Amino acid sequence: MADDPTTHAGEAALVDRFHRGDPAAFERIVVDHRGAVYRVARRLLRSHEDADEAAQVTFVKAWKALGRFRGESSLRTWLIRIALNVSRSMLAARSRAQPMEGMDQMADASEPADASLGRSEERRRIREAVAKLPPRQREVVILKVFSEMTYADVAAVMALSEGAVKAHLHHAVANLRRRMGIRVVSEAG
Amino acid sequence: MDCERFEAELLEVFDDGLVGEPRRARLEALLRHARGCPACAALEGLAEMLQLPPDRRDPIEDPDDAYWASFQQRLAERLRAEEVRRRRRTTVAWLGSLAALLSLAVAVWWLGPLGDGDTTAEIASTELPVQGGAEPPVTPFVDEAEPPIPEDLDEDLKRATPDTLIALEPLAGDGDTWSADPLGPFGDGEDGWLLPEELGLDDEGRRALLEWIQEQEARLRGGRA
Repeated sequence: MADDPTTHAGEAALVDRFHRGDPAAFERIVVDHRGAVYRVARRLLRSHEDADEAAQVTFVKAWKALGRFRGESSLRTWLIRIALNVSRSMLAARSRAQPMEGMDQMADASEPADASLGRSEERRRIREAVAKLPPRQREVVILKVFSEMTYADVAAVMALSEGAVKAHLHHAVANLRRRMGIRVVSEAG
Repeated sequence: MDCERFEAELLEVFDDGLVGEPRRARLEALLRHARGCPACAALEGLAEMLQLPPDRRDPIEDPDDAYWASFQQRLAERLRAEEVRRRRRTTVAWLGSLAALLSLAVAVWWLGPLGDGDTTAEIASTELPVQGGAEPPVTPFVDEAEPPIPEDLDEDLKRATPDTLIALEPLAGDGDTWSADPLGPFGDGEDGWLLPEELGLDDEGRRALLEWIQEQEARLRGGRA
């Protein structure tokens, strides 16, 4: 991913220091990746408070599991994968507690400060439509479109093949066309 | 450009290798079509959004330094609490092992060295004396944070916490074959999961899921020190 601040060798050295009991190593890992983890959780959960909790839980899980991290993927990919699963769990818990209500609130949690109100409103509608996609499609759109991860990274994060990621994105675009199309028709009267 | 081509081109814009001028030209062509086609007008906003850098498509206000300082502090406190819990479990497990060893030593002392005629069954059936200050045998340590799997399949899945669920993804093109996320329950600090009901599993699928969970938990418990 473009903004990964550490090299593979640097990551390996950090993990090695962690294994040898250096507490500063994990702190460095958190500082390097907390922003990316927070942003993924924020886009999925659409709430700062929930994203904060998800990010905290992600790093606690990572701390407990880092001893078994084999370096087959980058640390960033591994952490975002954990964040994705934590966010999924929180969304599932939220939907059990508040069926359907949480989804409507999700899309409007972040409003861009665009000069053009029209474009701002359009993007809000797109985010709203994305928030209502089936879980896998929503995740692929968030990771591929809003975070612009590569297909390989998205596949690694979601434990899917690249083909499956592309298939989910294809279905997501078709779904967005239907959702946005219905809105366009209804607004036209 | 027809509508089918429009959607195909839109997906190609997501291609990892498409950057710079080729990407810009393709997006412009997509927008020209979307603005003139009622069927594709719904995706005009998405095509416009793709012209923006990724961090502006769904902008997230980055938290300030004060937030991150608080984040680090709270995380450190949670990790300290986790470390305390881990040490407590280790201590109880150690005490359990020590008690088991003491019980074995008492048994050996009570029964004396094995000679002709002693059988395992006789040793096993001998009641151990409880002398003053000696502790009775302690059953193997059970992590109370991980409740046993209940027998009722449906109730178990309804009560399952995020930390005991697994994410399953059908392998491409084969809805009957599952590629299981390889990580196990929360007690090992591994990934959280999707709810089985989100996957639309039928009874047989849910039964297979529960059996897989039980197998993984048994494997993980067997691997613990």
